[in-house]
Amino acid sequence: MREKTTDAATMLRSELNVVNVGLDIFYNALKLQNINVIHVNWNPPPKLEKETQDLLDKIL
Amino acid sequence: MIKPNFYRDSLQLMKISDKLRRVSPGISEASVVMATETNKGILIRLGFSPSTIEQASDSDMLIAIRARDQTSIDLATTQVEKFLESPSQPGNGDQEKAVDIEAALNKMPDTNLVLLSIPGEYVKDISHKLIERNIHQLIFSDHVPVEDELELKTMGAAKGLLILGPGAGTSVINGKGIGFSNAIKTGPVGIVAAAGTGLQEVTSLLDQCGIGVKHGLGVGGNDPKDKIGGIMMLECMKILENDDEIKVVAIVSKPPSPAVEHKIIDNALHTGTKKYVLAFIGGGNMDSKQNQCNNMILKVNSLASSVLAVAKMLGDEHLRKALSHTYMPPEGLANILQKEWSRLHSSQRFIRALYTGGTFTYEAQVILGDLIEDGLIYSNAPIQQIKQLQDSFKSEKHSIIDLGEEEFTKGRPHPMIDTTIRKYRILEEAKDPEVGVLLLDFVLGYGANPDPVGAVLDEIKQAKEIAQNDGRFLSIIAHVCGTKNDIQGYDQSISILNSAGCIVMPSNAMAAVSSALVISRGKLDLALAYAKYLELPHDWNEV
Repeated sequence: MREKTTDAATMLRSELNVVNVGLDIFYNALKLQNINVIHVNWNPPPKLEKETQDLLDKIL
Repeated sequence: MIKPNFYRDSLQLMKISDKLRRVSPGISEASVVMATETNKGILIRLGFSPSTIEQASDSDMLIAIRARDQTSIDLATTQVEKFLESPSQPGNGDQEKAVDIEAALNKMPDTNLVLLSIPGEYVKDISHKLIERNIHQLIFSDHVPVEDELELKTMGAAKGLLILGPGAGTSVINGKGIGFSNAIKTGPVGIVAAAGTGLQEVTSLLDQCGIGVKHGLGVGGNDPKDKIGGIMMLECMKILENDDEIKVVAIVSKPPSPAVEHKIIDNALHTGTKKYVLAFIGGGNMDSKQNQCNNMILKVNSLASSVLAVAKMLGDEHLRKALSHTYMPPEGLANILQKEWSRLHSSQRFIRALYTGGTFTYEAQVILGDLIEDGLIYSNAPIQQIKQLQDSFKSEKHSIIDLGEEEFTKGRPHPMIDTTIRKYRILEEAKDPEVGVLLLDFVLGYGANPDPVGAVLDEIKQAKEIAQNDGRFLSIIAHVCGTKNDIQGYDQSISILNSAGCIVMPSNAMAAVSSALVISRGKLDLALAYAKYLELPHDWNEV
């Protein structure tokens, strides 16, 4: 777990390290600009699992 | 055909649909889409049977194929399964990939920004966890409930985190573009924007004038409204204010709520040491007599005039350059456009604007709403004095359409990427004998269609032909938002549009004024239009 807070001004002064979650066009665009990036090919959780999770959230 | 509980993102599906159309010449239409209400409606409009389509639910995939023979259908059905098994991969082999966010953060423990472009309903949970881990975010996703946005931004601001968005199409960090963005140079300007294509327009036009932007922080369109209270806008102003390399700060937005506007001006006046340009589109100009802070704040009415204002703040030499690159004098404009309106038939009374950029749609409504007679302008995303279209798929009188609105985009790629709906609409508008002007935007840059002009060029030519075959002339006025370093080719895009008979204007504001001038057959108070939307307030304008 990350504990250190990097404030916005510090982040803007630092080298960008980006995780791209979703559309791969944005991953490609960041790579083209030589920005460090990891792509997550995101999929939604299965519907039943989300409902079960909501139920569990309520119970717990 | 329905594939139950099967997900691929809209961009992957657009690419699969394109590949499928090329599998056999016998295939006339192929659409592979998630079964959102938007996509189901579009398939029905394309002539597919509602009975099957309506059985599909949001989490299902729909495969719709029209072909002239069974062999082509069988071939397409086999191929689509193969394409879906191996969806297009990002990058070209050198990419870093992770199976989920946790794995990505483990792989890159010094991650300082996450870019989220996932369906809005899933944003809150993920964003919440990222805030707990102190990670800044740019949330491209739309359709995030405003209550969730408020919660996320309040939590983020308390921890000193940037929560850019939801609905933030673009940002610029150290001159580099995140999301939809253009290849610009870095420089002495900082921008806070609650208007995605507004930020692209201003950064691109500044780049054309030789002025660079260091940071352009997109906060999402809801931020300056009362419900969010400008939380991130004000945070971003503080950050830019404390950056020694930034000399001019521009705030680009639709008019904020009065309370938020008051806070913005108060911040700029009382804690600001920079020069400020407030570009609240349609929010009115401020002349120098109203400015009570040694000319440190300049309030303007359009994106184009904000570029002149930033240039003016940086010095008269910059303003001269900005005027030569982004501005056309009224007499020159009238000369060019007279050739257009003189060819219109008397029945051609209306403008149809088909926009991919939301801010461009908004700005066009402000300008045309002001310049054209009352009560005749419609939109699917109307501002105060504009009428609501009954059906977003069917224009009425003057219509200004935002193709990025939910009814066109839920479960589909943004129209800056997927040109399917605009192609269809260009032809539909051309068939209407009362239409005299088509107004189009073309947004270049990272994330956008690799050739937005080429993608609709056939339809532009066909639209001209449809009008000509009916004894009419159709005027097409366009604006290309981009820079010379954008991969799509800025000069080439303009040249192709000119060759197809389109008039290309240097800014969206000028394209909107031009449309009004053509449809009015030159009977427009051009001096007033220029003073309000295309120039600096009169007493600031002298070089």
